[in-house]
Amino acid sequence: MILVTVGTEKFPFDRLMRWIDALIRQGFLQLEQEDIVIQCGTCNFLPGGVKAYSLLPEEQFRTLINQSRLIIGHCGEGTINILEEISKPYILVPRSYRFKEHVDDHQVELAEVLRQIGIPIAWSPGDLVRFLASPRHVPYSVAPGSKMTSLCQLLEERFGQINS
Amino acid sequence: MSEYSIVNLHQSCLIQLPTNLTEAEANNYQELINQLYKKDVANKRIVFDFSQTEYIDSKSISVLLSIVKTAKKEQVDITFWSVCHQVELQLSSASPELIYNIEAGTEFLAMNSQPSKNFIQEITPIIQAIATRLDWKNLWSEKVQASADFHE
Repeated sequence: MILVTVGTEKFPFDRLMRWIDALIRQGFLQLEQEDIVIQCGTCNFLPGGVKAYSLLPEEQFRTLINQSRLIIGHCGEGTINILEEISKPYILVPRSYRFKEHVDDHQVELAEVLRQIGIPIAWSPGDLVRFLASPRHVPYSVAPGSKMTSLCQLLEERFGQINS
Repeated sequence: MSEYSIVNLHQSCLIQLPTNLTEAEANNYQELINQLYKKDVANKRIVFDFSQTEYIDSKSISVLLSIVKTAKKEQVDITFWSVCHQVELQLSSASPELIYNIEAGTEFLAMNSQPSKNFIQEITPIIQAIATRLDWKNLWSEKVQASADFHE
């Protein structure tokens, strides 16, 4: 099963939906061989033959991630935070201000930063096809590492929590 | 031509075209397509990926037209993806019938292959923070390894 997720932005991400539709029509995605599940948010266009959910409870979303073979996601921080915890192959598609998919181009900027460390990014539907032919998982994390967590705990013990 | 990817997936083939499609390269692609037709299990669909293509000369357009006409005889669908506006104008002025091969809904984001040296300083502050943390992680790993090497 392939999972496609576009997050919960108020802006639709119809461009990605049309890419998926093009991949299905050209035979790069075979619905008779593999299910495609889309968390579609506010998208106005949906490819034919897919299972679509506008929003999903987190538990169900994580279940779908665990069941999926690979994931195609928008380049949102929330999605990235979830995907960095898993070992499934995934590719990110940035929303663009130019196509009225977000308020600015911060996802494009983030995608460029992630591309430089080897995270698969799709700038075109052809990039999705190339990823499908050779899916790969690139481990990384933007969260502070365990050493920073230890430092935070030390600081809390020394100075107490901020809220106390 | 070999520097650009050709991907076969199921019974469809995706061929990425170069930034500047000249007559010599177009002839190479025509030869490639002819070889595909000779295979026992022929690709039923061939998609040309124009996402990297910024210029196409008139001779190449003629070659593309020949490829499309031959494909019809071989009962193979030829589709063009991610055609930028400039190339679309070139296609429409030289061979308007090729426009019908362009698949709608395959718009792409054109990105520079090499970001500018000041890229990090020019981007949104929150993205700068993420980029900085990514660099920090790499530097920390190098320091940890260097310390381990020292103590061994």
